[in-house]
Order: sequence, then structure tokens, then C-alpha cells
Amino acid sequence: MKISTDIGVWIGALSALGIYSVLIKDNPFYTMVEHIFVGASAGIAVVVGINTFLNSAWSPMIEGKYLLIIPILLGILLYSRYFEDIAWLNRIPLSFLMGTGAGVAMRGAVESQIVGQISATMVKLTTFDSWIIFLGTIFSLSYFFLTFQRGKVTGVTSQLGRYFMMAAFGAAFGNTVMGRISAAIGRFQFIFLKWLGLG
Amino acid sequence: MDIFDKLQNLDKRVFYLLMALAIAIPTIHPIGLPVEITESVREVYEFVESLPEGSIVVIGFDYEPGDEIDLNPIAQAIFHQLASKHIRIVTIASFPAGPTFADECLEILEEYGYEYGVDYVNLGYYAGGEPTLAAFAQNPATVFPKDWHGNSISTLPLMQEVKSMKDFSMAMTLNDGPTGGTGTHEWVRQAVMAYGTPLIMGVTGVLAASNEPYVQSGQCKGILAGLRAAAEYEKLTGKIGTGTVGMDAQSIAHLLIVGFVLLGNIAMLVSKIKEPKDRSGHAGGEPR
Repeated sequence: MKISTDIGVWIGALSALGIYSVLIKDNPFYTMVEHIFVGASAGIAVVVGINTFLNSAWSPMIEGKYLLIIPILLGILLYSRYFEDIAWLNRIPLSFLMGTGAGVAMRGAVESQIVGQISATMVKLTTFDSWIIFLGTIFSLSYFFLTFQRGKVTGVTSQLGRYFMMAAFGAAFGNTVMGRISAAIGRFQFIFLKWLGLG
Repeated sequence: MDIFDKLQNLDKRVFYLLMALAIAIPTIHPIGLPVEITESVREVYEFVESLPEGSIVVIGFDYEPGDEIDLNPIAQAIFHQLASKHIRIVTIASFPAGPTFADECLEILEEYGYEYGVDYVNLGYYAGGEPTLAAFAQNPATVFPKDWHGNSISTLPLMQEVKSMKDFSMAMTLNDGPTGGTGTHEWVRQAVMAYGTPLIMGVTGVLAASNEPYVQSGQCKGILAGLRAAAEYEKLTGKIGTGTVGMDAQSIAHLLIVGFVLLGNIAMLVSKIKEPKDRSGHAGGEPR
């Protein structure tokens, strides 16, 4: 056993214990660590944000890329919402953000998320897996035919579609549990191996 | 109150304690449970093996500190393989903490004699999500005039070879979801659909199922999901790391959860079966 002498490791380990202490019951130690976490996260985001602004906008502009003044001004206009009289000005940069965001996303969305996905379900029905993909798609889609009364056939297919979706949700939930356990393992490795030097 | 009622009303702190023990004991004393390689992980490994030696790849560190344990081991395992083929690496990040994780993982390249600026570069954080990724894909220099360490990218030899996304032989995103950063869908759109650059994903377990259709459609070459995939990849590369160490704890914790789910359901079923008998046979049975 070799306990760490690094002050950063000590702060990290005590903070982790503070967060886990809420599992016993809510307490001031947990509240304090929670507030420190929120504050530190916000602080890091501000510092990184300022550095990003300086590196990718301000410095290149004063070095001669004067057109960058346009996005800088648009960025400043976002803060006009805090002043009632000129709050309307923040609609201008927001319009740019929404327009460019939608335009950029549209570029590949149709092909990647519609055409590509539909064509991926058009498989040769030679294996068990391909049948699962084919039937799973048809049955799951039939569950969402809501514009007419379900008959005998569509009633059965929509019910089967429900089972397919439940299996998918189960897989997603299983993966979620695995992810949460991984997070705990990460903290336990930090506490026992890095802080306490056990193992 | 019989044993089944007690099980249903178990104090959740008992479960927390058992879970803590299930994770702590294998962490301190590893058991060495076997790790089998799944087909999906092998496919990713073989794809990376097929990349030309000396080519350049871009890796996005798109995750927050809470998901470090899932994704850092995946990054490190991939870096070992890339370095063994002397493939050069450019990292970017859509979360403020991402560049720090990138630096942490890139440290392992020193044992392969990698030189900063020549063999690998950490470009740092970019704000703006997909539009900025699109701008990076078109011309990295417009988004990153400087790298994470403040060097002008015109002074970095590696970046002289990168003019657009097309110059990367592979893109990879280490991703914990689209909230606040660039998600996997955005990478598919901007790397694969726009430039035809092959993409692999390293994701948290939560995202595995929702991204599987991209593998099915061929838009993604493969997915490495969570600590389990990291452990498998470490086995393939022969470089044992935190992924393998964590798998014992992962397996024991899963067994405990499965055990409790089974016990809880059995207890509920038995209680339901017994309920009518209690009502008729006794004065109202035990209140719950």
C-alpha cells in the first residue's frame, strides 16, 4: 500500500467520496462537493472558451484576417438579449446559427439517415440475421400505422413490432447499466489504485 | 413479513454496499476472468490493420469527464495499434475537457518514439458542433490556426499534409452523445457522407445500440462500445491496460445485478401468488 502524495489525487479522491456519500443520505459534504464540481466545470468552460476565441478569432483578426470581425460582432450581438431595448438584435446571429446549422446538417442527413438506413434493410434473405432485420423493420413500422383501425393481420404484426422494440430497448438499457457500472469502476480504480495504492 | 416480503422491501443501501464490494474486491485483487473477442471488435481491429503505414488519421475526443473510464482505454488501445504501424494522429475535441484527455492518451506514443508536430498533433477544442466540424473537414486551418499548446499550425510539419478531411485515411470519434458536443450522426454526415472518409466509433455502452444501424448500412466500419470493447482490443494488441483491469469488476457487478433482478422478480411472483390466500385465510394478512 502506497498512498499518493499528489494533492490533486487527494482532492479528486475526497471529492469522489463526497459524491458517493449521498448514497447513505443527503449531507453537507455532498452538497459542498456538488457545488465545487458545478463551479469548476463552469470555470474550465469559460477559460477554454476564452482561449478558443483568442486563438481562432481574435489573434487571426489582428494578424490581418479582418473579415473575422463579422462573426465576432455577430457573437457579441448574442448578448444583446440581456438588454431589453436592443434584445431583438440577438435574432440576427441566431438566424445565422440556425440557418448554417440546418444547412450543414441537411448536407448528409438525407443520404446517411434516410436513404442509407432504408437500403441497409434491403438485404438478401439468406441468413437468420437478415430475416430478423427484415421482419423487425416491417413489424416495428407497422406498430406506427396509426391512421386506420388495426385488422387481424396488422394487429399481429404491430404486436410483434412491439416485441422487437422491447428487445431493442432491453439491449439499450443493458448497455446503459454497463456504462454506469463502468463509471463506478473508474472511480474505484482511482480511489483504490491511484489514491490508496492498493492492488 | 416473510423472506420474500423482506427482499421486496430491501433497504437500497444494502444493495449499494454489495455493489461497492463487487467492484472494490476485483479492483484490488484481480481474478483474471477470460475476455472473449467479439466479432465486431475484431472487425474494427482488422480494419485499422488494413490502413496504409504512415497514413494520417483524425480522432475526435467528444466526451465529458464522466465517461473517461469507458473511452480513454479505447483511445489508448487504438493508439497502440496505430503507433505499431507508424500511423500519424491528429486529435480534435468538441468538449472543453477533450484536449486534456487527448494529451493523457497521446502520452503512450512516446514509447514508440513519436515526435510532437511530426507524428501527432493535439489541435484542441472547437466550439459550434457540426458546422465547425464541417469547416474543419473543408480546411482544418480555418478552425485551428493554433494547436492546443499554442503553436501555429503552419509550423507543424504534420499539418502541412492535411488540407481537408480527404487527407485522413480514417476518422474516429470517441463519443458520449450529442449533448454539448459533436455526436456520432454529425461525424457520419461530415466525414463519411461528405468526404468518403472511413469512420469508426468508440462509444459509451449507452450509445452502442442506437449507432449499430450505421454499421449495418456500411456507413461506419465498426463500433467499440464501452470498457468491454477496450478490454477485447487490449487483448488483440497485446497491451494490457485499464480496460482489462476493469473487466473483472464489470463481470462481478453484472452478476450481482442479474441476481438481484431474478430474486426481486421471484419475490414479487411468490408474494402475488400468496396474496389471495392471506386475505381469505387470515384477518387481512400483513399490511404492505
